[in-house]
Amino acid sequence: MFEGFGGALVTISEPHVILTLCVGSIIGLIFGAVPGLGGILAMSMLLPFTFTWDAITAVYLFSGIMGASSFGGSVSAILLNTPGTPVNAATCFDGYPMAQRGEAARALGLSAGACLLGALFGLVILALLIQVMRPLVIAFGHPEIFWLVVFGLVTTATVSQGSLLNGLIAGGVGILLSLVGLNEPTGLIRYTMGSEYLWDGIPLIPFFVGLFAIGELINYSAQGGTIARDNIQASIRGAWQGVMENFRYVVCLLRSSSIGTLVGIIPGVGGETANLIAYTVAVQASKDPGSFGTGNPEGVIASEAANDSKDGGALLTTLSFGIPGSLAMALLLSIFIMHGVSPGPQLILDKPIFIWTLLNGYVVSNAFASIVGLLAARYLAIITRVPVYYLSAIIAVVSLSGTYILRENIWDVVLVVLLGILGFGMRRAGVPVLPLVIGFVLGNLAENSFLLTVRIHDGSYLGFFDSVISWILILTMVVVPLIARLRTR
Amino acid sequence: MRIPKTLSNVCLVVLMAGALALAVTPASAADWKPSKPITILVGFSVGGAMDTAARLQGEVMSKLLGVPVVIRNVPGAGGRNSVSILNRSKPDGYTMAAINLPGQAVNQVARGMKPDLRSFTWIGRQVSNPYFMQATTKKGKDQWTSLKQMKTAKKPIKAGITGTGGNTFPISVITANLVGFPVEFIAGFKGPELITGIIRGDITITNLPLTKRWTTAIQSGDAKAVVVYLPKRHPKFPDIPTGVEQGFPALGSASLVGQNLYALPPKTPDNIASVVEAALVKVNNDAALKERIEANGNIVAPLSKQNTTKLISDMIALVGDNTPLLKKYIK
Repeated sequence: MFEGFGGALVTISEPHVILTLCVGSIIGLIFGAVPGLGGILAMSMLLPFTFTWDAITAVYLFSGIMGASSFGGSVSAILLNTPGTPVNAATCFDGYPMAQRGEAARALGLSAGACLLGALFGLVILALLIQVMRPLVIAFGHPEIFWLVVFGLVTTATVSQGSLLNGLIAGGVGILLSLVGLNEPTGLIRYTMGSEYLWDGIPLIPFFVGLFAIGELINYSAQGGTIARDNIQASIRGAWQGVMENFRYVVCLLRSSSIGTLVGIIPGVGGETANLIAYTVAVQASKDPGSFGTGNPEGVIASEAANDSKDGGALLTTLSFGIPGSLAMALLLSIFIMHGVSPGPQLILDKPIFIWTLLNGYVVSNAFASIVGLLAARYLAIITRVPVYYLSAIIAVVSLSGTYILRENIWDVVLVVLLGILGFGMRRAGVPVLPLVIGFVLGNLAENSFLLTVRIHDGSYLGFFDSVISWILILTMVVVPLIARLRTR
Repeated sequence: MRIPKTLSNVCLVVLMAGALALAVTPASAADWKPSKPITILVGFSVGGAMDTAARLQGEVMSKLLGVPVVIRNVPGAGGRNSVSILNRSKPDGYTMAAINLPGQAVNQVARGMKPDLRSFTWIGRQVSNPYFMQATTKKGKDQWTSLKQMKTAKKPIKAGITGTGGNTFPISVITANLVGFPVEFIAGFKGPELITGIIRGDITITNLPLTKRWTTAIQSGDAKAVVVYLPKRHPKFPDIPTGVEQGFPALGSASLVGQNLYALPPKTPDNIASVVEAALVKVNNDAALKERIEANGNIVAPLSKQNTTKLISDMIALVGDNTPLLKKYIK
């Protein structure tokens, strides 16, 4: 496995590779930051051009985009309360309140640091476990996924700032929205009102763009003023302080990175789950859960560390099993296959240089994005002092066109507007958005893994309790809040 | 001789009508030349087999037709979106779609969805993606090594499928029916989960496209390939026996092979369809391109317009014969 490392290092020092990585990272940053676009769109647009490239250069381009898009997504989440991609949703909850306090540069520094450290964590785990990770992947079946998801769902109550009832209602609405569409285990088509558009359920990107970007846009227009209510600390020192704070919250960083890696390893769970579970665990484990949602740095660290570490986990499954953990990984696989490289157990033995190429590219692009983010933080922070009327116009154009470009479906735009109205209404009524997001992202996953567990175990419910991992998850679900409660007393 | 006025008026009308007809009649096949970008609709996400083949073929087609060929991914509903959009498109040759069969035949026959696939102007085949069955080798679980052995199963064999939307569903249901083994389909797995499900032994069999991506569990010894639904063994996977070899000739039918077929909107004029078909034939005969597409396990096998249209009818008929069975899983 390690014999390919030297060869990959040689390739990364070549000028055209450095250029490819920088271009990939910049594209990733931009596409990540624009709500509705995301790294996947960038990769799919560039895919045809890479067919004629040599495989190593193509892999560097894609790893550059993958590595940088996550940080790009956190920039808009922190500055505009609009996640650039669905995987940055949880970053909004504390990043944006920090920006409102005038601490945008610090929050961006926190995110840059957490992205890089989370990515490094995931990749170290990948390098260490790639040859022995098989039992871990196999250990996570549907019962274990069910408990992991339930763990996220039950925290809805904890993360409901203000009224518990409002939080539970929002969580319930989120679950209901997640049930729209064809339910594969039962074959039922639900709540689609006869529309083929809703067959696959409410699409993720319009959901997030509507709820956050358009909801916030209407809110801006109603409120006026600027995002930052206090004086802004737009200095490189502020951003650097944010980076270093990752080490102050090292437990949160490591815990969230572990959760991200684990979620990445499990096929079929989805990247948007990692940041939400890590965030809710951070709330559960905190001495001061009430401070989450008001600008707690741990909220930003938890979300972004999980985001970037999940790619290490997903790469592990993709490379060693040939099973793509996400759409980005599926794209990567098609690049590999197009160049005659077959993922699977033999890849590690036959072509380790590909694995190291990918890892090197991913680390360098993450570092590149974090440094660019750090240097640009003080300028980006100025956005929070721009009158919101101007921002509203820009956000409206960018988010609506971004959503439309993705699938060229006008109904996506209609959905964005409807969800925007819902998001605005919730903000005005003091109903927390986070439980709705948790319910929407995890609800359908919980139902599917529940039904599959029962079917696989011939209708018996004992399947939920027949593995050690299930019991660990159940106990964690009970113990973590108890410990947190005891610590707060 | 003086021509009566009425007659001259009639002649004038006939002449004008003739001129008008000439103006609106499409030019001959040789005359139709695309003048703006052609869009190929792909009903699946970027990076999949259909998308990759469309992108590679689109590049060559673009050079042949002299206009850009744009791939538009419209994923969702098991490929259904491309069918709906194509049906609404103008029959002007600028929109075509790659459509997955027999999955879309299920929507038409068993779900009663419109349009009738036979109304499209079919122009040829993109690729064939044969399906194969793999069975778990996990200790303590039922081990299936041949179709004849499966027929002797005492209780239903647990077969994993993604859902009722794509090609896997009809191919799995129809082949199980043709072989005649007891089966319980468990739907709801995401594609990659079918592999981990097989490795864990949660399901004992599953049918998947025969590409390198889906054979990793076989490489690692976690699964065994039981059968490929082809009349002859697949040249890239010669170790997998066919159903015909195992005594089930019906499993060699072309209707049981996953087919990605190219279509133009209904009522596309012949001259336009012929130009696009001619370009597609050249694309499919490009040896270098064929090699790249087939690296993934798909088969590039050109099919004429007439044979493509016949294949559609055969698939619809086969799905029709099995509708009661398919409806057991469609609510």
